[in-house]
This record gives sequence, C-alpha cells and structure tokens, in this order.
Amino acid sequence: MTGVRDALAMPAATVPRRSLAGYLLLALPPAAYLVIIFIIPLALLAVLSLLRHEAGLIVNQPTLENYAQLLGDAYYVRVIYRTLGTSLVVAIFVTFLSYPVAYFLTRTRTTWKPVLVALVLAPELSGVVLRTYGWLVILEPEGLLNTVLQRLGLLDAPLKLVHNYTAVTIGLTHVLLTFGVFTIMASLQAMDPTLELAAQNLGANRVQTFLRVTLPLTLPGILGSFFLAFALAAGAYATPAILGGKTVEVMSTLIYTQLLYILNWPLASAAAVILLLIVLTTLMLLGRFGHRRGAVL
Amino acid sequence: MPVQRMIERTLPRAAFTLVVLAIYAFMFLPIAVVLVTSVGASRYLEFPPRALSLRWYQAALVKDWIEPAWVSFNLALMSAGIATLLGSAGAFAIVRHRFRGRDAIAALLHSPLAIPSIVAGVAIVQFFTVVGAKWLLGFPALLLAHAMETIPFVTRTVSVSLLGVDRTLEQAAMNLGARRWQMLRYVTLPLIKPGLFAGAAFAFVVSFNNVNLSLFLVRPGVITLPIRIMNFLEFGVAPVLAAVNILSLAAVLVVVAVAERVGGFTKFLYGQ
Amino acid sequence: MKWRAATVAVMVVLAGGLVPLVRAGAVRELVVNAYGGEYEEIIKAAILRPFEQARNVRIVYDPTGSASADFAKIRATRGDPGWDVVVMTAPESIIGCQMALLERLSEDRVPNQKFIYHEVRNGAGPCGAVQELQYMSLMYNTRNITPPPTSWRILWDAKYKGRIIVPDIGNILAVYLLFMAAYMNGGDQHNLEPGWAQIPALRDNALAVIESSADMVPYFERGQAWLLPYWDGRAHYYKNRGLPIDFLIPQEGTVGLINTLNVPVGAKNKELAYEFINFWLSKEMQEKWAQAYTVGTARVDTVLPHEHSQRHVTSIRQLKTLKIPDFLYIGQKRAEWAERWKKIMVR
Repeated sequence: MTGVRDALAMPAATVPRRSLAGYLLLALPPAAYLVIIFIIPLALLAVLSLLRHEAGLIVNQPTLENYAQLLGDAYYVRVIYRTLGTSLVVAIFVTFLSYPVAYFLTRTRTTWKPVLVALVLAPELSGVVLRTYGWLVILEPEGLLNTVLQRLGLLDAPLKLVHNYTAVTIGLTHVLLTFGVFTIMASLQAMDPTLELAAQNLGANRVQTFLRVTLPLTLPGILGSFFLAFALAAGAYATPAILGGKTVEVMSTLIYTQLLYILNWPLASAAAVILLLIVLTTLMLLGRFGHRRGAVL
Repeated sequence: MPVQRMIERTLPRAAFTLVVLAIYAFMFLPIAVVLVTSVGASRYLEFPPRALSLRWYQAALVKDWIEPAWVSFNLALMSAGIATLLGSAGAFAIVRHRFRGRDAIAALLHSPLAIPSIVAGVAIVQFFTVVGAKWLLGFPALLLAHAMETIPFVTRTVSVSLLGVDRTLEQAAMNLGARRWQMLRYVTLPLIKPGLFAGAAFAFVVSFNNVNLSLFLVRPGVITLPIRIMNFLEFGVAPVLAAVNILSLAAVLVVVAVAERVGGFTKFLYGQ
Repeated sequence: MKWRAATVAVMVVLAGGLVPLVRAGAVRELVVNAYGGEYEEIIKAAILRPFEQARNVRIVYDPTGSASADFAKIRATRGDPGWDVVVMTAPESIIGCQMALLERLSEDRVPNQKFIYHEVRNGAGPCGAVQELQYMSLMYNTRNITPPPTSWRILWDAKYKGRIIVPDIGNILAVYLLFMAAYMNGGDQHNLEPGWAQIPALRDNALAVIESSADMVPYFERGQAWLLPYWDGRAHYYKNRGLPIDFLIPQEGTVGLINTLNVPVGAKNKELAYEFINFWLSKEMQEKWAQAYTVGTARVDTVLPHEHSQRHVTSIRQLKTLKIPDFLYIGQKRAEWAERWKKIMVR
C-alpha cells in the first residue's frame, strides 16, 4: 500500500521562482480592472451603509446602526444563518452530484461527447420560464412529482415542495450543477490518469484507487466547485424569490427588496457588505483547508 | 471465477452509469416541462398542453426577439473574451506565485461572485454618473460590467486546471531547450485548455443570462434578451417566452457543442 | 468644364449628406420610459403614435424596468436616467420629489393639470401628473367562487385556505390590504394596529406570498389560486383575455392607486416632456387611455361609456368612495412596516 501512496505523491506544484515583475504583470491587469469597475463603485454605495435612514430618507449622520440592526436583531441573524445553511447544503449537493457526471464525461469515449458536454450548460441556460413555471408544475402539491409518487403508493399526502427552503435548495442545486460539473472536469482532465493505472498495478482495487488517488488529486476541483456553488447560491436572487415565495428570506432577497421596494439603501448596502464578507471568509477557509491538503485554492 | 470477475467489473460500472443517467434526468426533467409547454396552442402556459402548435415559435422568430438575442450573443462572446484574458492572468498570478498580498488578490479576483448583481448594477450606474461617464451606458457599460462579473469564473476554473498540472512536465520542456513561450504554448496551454474552456463557457452563459446588472446599464434601443424577457414578464408569463427560452438554449448548446467538437477542449490529454 | 462638374458633384454629395442632419435637427426626440409586454402595444397605439403625428416628433420608447427599478435608476443616476418622461406610481413620485430628483409639474408647465381632481393631485404630490387612476379590487375565480364575494373578509375565510394569494410588503398592494384590514376592524391609515392583528391569520390562509404582480398571474391561470387583491386595470385586462375571473369592490370599499407621469431633473428635453404630459392629460387622450388600458381617469370632464365607467373610477362620486392613501406617510413608514411584516411572514 505504501507503493500506492508513493504513486499518488502530489505533483511538485507551485515552486516560487518567478520574479516580482512577472507577478505584477499577471496580477495587475485583472486586479486594476476589478478595482475600477467593481470595488470603487461598490465602496461608493457601501458608504451609505454608514449613514442613518430615517422616515424614508437618508440623513447625513454617520452611524453603525444598520450593522447593529442586521447583526443584533434575531430576525436578521436568522436570515444570515439561513443564507449560510442553504448555500452550504446547495454547495454540498452540487459537488456530490457533479462529480459522477464530470468523471463520466472525462472518461467516456463516445462520439456524442461534445453534445453531452454542451448539455451540461442547459440548467444554467434554462431561464425564467423554468424558474417561474417549470418547477411549479413539477413540485407543487398537485404537481407532477407528487402525483407520480402518490400513484405509485409511495406517499399518502403530498409533500410540501414549493415556497420553502426545500424548493430553494432543489432549484439552486439544479441551476448550479453546470458550474460544479465543469469545474471538477477541469481538475480531472489536468490529472495524469497513468497514476490511476499505477495504483491498480500495485494492487489497489477500483474503490481504493478512486479514494486514494483520483479524489485527492482532484481536490482543487472539488473545492472549486464547492466555492462557486456556495458563492452563487448565497448571491442568487431569482430562484429563492420565485421558488421560495416571500415566506422565505435570504440575504439576496432581503437586499433586493430593501434596494428596490422599501428604498432603505443604507440597510441594503450594509447587508451587501456582510454578504461579501461571509463569502470571502468562506474562500479563505477553503483555501486554508486546501493548503493543508497540498491543494492550494 | 471469470464470471464473478465480470460481475465485479460490470456491476459497479452499470451502477455508475445509472447514477449519471439519473443526474442527467434531474438536469433535464424541468427543461422538458418547458419544452412541452412551448408547443402548446393555448394563450396561457399549459401543462400538459391540450392542443399542439408551433405558433409560439413563429411568434418568437421575429425581429423583436432576434435583435436582443443578437445583442446578448455578441455581448456574451466579447465579455467571455475579456474575462478569459484577465481571469486566466489572475489565475497564473495566484497559483504560480508566492508573494505577500496573494490572499488579498485572490479575494479581490473572486469578490464579484459574492455580491448580488442588483447591487453591482446600482453601484456601477451610480459610479458612472459620479465620474461623468454616463455616455458609456448601453453596450460599452454592459460589456465592462459583464466582463467584471465573469472574471471570477475564469480565475476559478483556470486555477483548478493549473493546480493539477504536473510542474515536472514544464520543467522537462525547459530542460529540453524550449523557450518559456514555447513551454506555455505546447505544454501548459494544452493542459489547462479544459479550465479555459469551462471558464469561457461560464462567462458566456452568465453574461447571456444576466438580468440584474443589465437592468441599470442598458439604454433605449440596445436591450439584451433577458431584459426583453423581463419587460415582457410585466404582464405575466406568456407561452412565447417558453419558445424563446428553448430557442436560445438550443442555439447556445449548438455553439458550445461545435466549439467543443472543433476545439477538443475536454479531450483526455495525457492518455492519448 | 471638368472642374465645374466635379464641384457640382461635391456640392450635391455634401447637400445629400446634410439633408439627414437637418432633418434630424428638425425632428425632436423624446425618450419615454414605461413598461413592456402588452402594455407597450397599448401605449404605442393609444398615446405615443398620436403624439408623434400631432407634433412631428420621434419618441424613443424604453420599456425596461418596473416602477421600482426605474426609481432606483433615477436615484442612482442623481436624476438623470436618460429619460425625459417616466411612468411611476405615486409613492415613487413623492419620494423622488422629496429627494429633488423630479421636476415639479405646475399648471404653467402642464396646463391640463387644472382639470385633474384636487384630491388626486394632492395625493400625487407636486412632481407627478396623474394620467390614470386605479384601485385595489378583489379578483376572484368565477368557476370556484359563487356567488361573487361581498367582503374582504373572504380572504380570511378558512373555507378558502390555500386558495389565496397575498401580496408581499414590497408590493404596495400589501400596504393597501393592511389598510383595509385596519379599516374593517376599527382602525385607519394612521392607526394600523387593528390591521396588524389580522396579518398572521392572513398568512395562515395563503397559498403563497408574492412580491411581483406579474408573478401572481400563473397561479390564477392554472386554477391554483382563486382570490387575490389586484389592480382593476390588470384584472380587467386578464378578464378580457378570457380567463375565468372577475373583479369587484367589496362592501367595505377600497384604496385608490394613483399613477403618475414624471420628468427627471436631468431630462434633456424638458419642454417637449411637459408638452407630452399635457397631451396625455387632454380630454381626448384621457378618454382614449382609460378605455385602452381599462383604467380610471382623474380628469373632471371626461365622458366614458357606461360599461367602462361602471367598473373603473371616472367620476367624483366614485372617487369619493375610494380611500386615497397618504403616500407621504407611507414613504416615511414603509421600512418600519416592511420589517414588521417580514417578521410575521417569514418562517
């Protein structure tokens, strides 16, 4: 078995040998672009989060009360937890469901492969009719799924699958599968498959080979898929708003309603800043976790 | 023994294929509902439709829908191009270099993912107003914003690819006398092609679908397909939208399938 | 000879090039923002084309965005969203006016303002010119609800549990429903506590709580929902489209909705914008618009067919039966109400 371990030894990645100039040449253009088109505009809006909102208007008076409201009031704290919880569950589902598809697409030799690959984009492209209508037809109490399950005698009473967090989780998992599959594929394809053969030649069975060779080597893809799904689930608006209905509240629906309808921009921008921090913290934590496993994020 | 061996070999494979099929079914069942609805003859969305007709496809294939679709297509293509260039440069920087502030750069490159795009939309239109760049509204502003929104996708997928690349291969190429650009061109690039493809594809579909960023950046006369759909939605979900959905989905899938066929982006590289 | 021919040719080409320029200078342009879908067809036929013909102008129509999204864009662009005229509901117009993002539409700018009922003008504030009046009607499925409902209390009736759509607080319909719940239980617009007490029971009776008015319709189309508070104009529109629905004002009365035309402070063609608004407020156009979009009008001297004026607000008598909301107060309280509402609705 030690032979297997040797065979799967991490590639000698990330040797720090490039110059600072080369680094700047690579990092500066995208960084500068994002600072100008994203960070500065966002900062201009986020300034509002430090102003008081009173009787429908912004008062020019610095305050931290918007943050205090969001982080102190039990209702908003619950919204933050729900957002975290839903996004975590979605990220886990997406990654679990994406891996087999990515593995299959990487290893298959069928001539239909380009079609199968393209089809993975379909959920993300399926658009607003699906979100507003397709899922309702399937999930509602008198919908397809409940009817089929009841006819088969698997259910006595219809499951409640719309206008709750279950519906949001199903809808988000579906729409984000695209990102999971392609990200994991990128990892699977960069991997040297002879390592798997080597492990098998050394006596490992399929499951052992997968768990001890393939899985660790594709950890960047798994973490990448997890992060993308998490971040996108946390920021998604349409799916939670429509499938969740308004008895579901997550950060993005809160922000949208405050920004467009309630017109409380200070509270909306404070919520946006908190959401940004949550997602970037997750990125850092995943980075640390990956780093310990030799797969820097 | 051979029989048992055969079962041992094929059973997991059959089970695996079944799982993959089930996941594909999960991806397609809801879309099938939209597809079936789109060939209904009624003025409302009906499932299942009582009568079949292609009238909504006829209604979808008119200038009012094709023009915004063309704007969206060009916009998605160009923003995917910009995002791919900038995003992969960023990926090389954060994966291949170890410098102080690398974490900050990584966070920066991913930050657009973390903000609902309605916030970015309001923030950007406000920024353009404040700095007197309102003349950018319309296609230029859409392009700048969509590229911003899609950079993280490319950075992420290219990083994932780069992390899997065996550096000894690059070293070997250099040892054999390749110049750095030759090494990049003939060794690194083929190895990260799947990551580039995935990132560009993400950038394309994310731009092609974007509503909440575009909402604030379009100007009269230059609207994208999702905005046209959203405007239409003001009066409820009409069956023509199902047809528009299916047509644009099919068009993008064909483009991607052809690109994949021609480019061979997801070929199994080492093995062949 | 040759030179002369060349000169003439050049002159002709130049003149040819100038013609479109001169024409472009002569034909004034006006950018109007309202809504999309079938509204776009109605407004183009009823208002925009007649104005273009009458004044020799070109209208660039922008259907993008709901009234809320429009207001967000006006606010983010400091009053210069690129439109000359924008259609919004009174709450946005009033807050926009307070924030100095909209022009005041006095009678010397828009002379036809003097024909608008004072009650309505006061309700709309100084920056909005009222081009239509609507009200919150009770829309119901005619197949499942017989005889027609008589009271708003039907929304709380346990018999219809799971058949009711409740608008979410982002939609002004929810505020109106809260008002009605207050009125019915001894309160009023400024004393909402009796209304708040009814909201948990309303939640428990609901099939769904929905923010956007457009998203509510599919539930009705598929027969999932039978009862819904909805604007009379749109309810009539769906009824005309053949859905098995009808709408009415229950015995307790209802609350009026004021829709307005507005000119952002940054508009490029303000004079033409005022002219356009004045045109829309003319007697002829008011009568035409009310019928085209199946809504009421706030102009005093309009004459409309009986079957239309029966269902929509067109007279002072009908106007008197409506509760006109205090939009200024709504604007001040909306954030507070939203938080309280959410804490009841969200599980």
